[in-house]
Amino acid sequence: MDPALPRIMTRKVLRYGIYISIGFAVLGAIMIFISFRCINSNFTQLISSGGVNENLLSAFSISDNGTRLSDFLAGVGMIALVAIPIARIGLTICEFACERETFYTVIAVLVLIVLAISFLVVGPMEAGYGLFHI
Amino acid sequence: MITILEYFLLVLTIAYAAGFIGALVGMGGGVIISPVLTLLFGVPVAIAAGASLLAVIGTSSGAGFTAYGKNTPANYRIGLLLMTVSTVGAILGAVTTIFLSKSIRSEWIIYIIFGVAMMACAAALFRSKTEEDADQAIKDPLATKLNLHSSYYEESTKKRITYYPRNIPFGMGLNFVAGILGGMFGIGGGAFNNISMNGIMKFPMKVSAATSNLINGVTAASSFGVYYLTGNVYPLIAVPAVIGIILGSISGRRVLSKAKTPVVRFVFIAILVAIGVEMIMKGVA
Repeated sequence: MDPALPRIMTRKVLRYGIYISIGFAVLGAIMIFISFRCINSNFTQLISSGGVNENLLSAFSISDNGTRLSDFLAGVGMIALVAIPIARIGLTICEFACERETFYTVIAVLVLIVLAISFLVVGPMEAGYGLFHI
Repeated sequence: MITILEYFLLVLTIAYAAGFIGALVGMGGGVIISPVLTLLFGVPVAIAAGASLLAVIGTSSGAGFTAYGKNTPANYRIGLLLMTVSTVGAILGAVTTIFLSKSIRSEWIIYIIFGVAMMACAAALFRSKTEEDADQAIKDPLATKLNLHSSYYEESTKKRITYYPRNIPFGMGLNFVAGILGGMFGIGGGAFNNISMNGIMKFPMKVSAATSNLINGVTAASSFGVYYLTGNVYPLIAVPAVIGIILGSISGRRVLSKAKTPVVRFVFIAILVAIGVEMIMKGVA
């Protein structure tokens, strides 16, 4: 493999990743405005002391479908955005592997493993059982 | 009273400014977004952190165009080494915030500690000298072994600057702490990345700013997973911050390569002080 290829790919991941994520985020924002009955509703009412008031959030929206669509579009934008740094690490592994720098290839793999642990182990555990919950 | 429309427009504007400055100093705009959401709009810490981490990833990716340019000052090797500790710290930080956010009393203590830490780092950075003339420096054996010595082209002086970093283990230790604080407050750890790279490991400020952009996105992604899966990410709250910060960071990266280091440094210190004061006041209140 051409050692310059991972870096070219990274440039493309950054460029198109940003376009995709911002595109979906804008679509999500438009849908939020369409699906919310009154954009002049009191935002601060939504924020209760413990978090976002889910009942009020539902009451503000015209229909569940509209809310679901805006959440879906914004969600795709978020996932695309979070995928960028993960893809960068993947491509960095390729870059150092092509340059035959074993030490930094291993280090990059380690970083990817830590990211996987966050999404596949710690996040689900914290959501389900709680690591430090008494 | 703030309406949803006002929230959108205000956060969009603030996020644009945050993205611009974040790209310039390589610290991620989340350092501004998180306190703004908490202090101005009353968003709970964990939810503000979730939105802010997305904003940090946006800044990092937007400014990343520069990092992959021809004359990039970023040092990928030290970036990877620091990511190994900052990502672990960020996960621990996120778990800690989710645990502490259940008790309002604990939140105030955390605000004060965070504010004092930011002020102390700003003071330390203000007193330390920049290492732009690092050609004279002694080569550190560990940095040599890790192949971390490098150089970059300084556009403002039209000269190639060679640098020889040192104090690598100490710098990595601070980055672990940076990861914890970044994960706790959704700031991506960029502020401390610069202190450890420039202040402790003696990388030139421009190298630390560009490398910090690489580190911030990955560190933020590691703690974002925890916030997202525990239901602390709301599109309504995060979307204007993300759009604003990406646009701001794309604007900021155009200025980064032409910006003079002392100006970047001054902006960096001023922001640290402002955040420190805000956090302490919030904690005392």
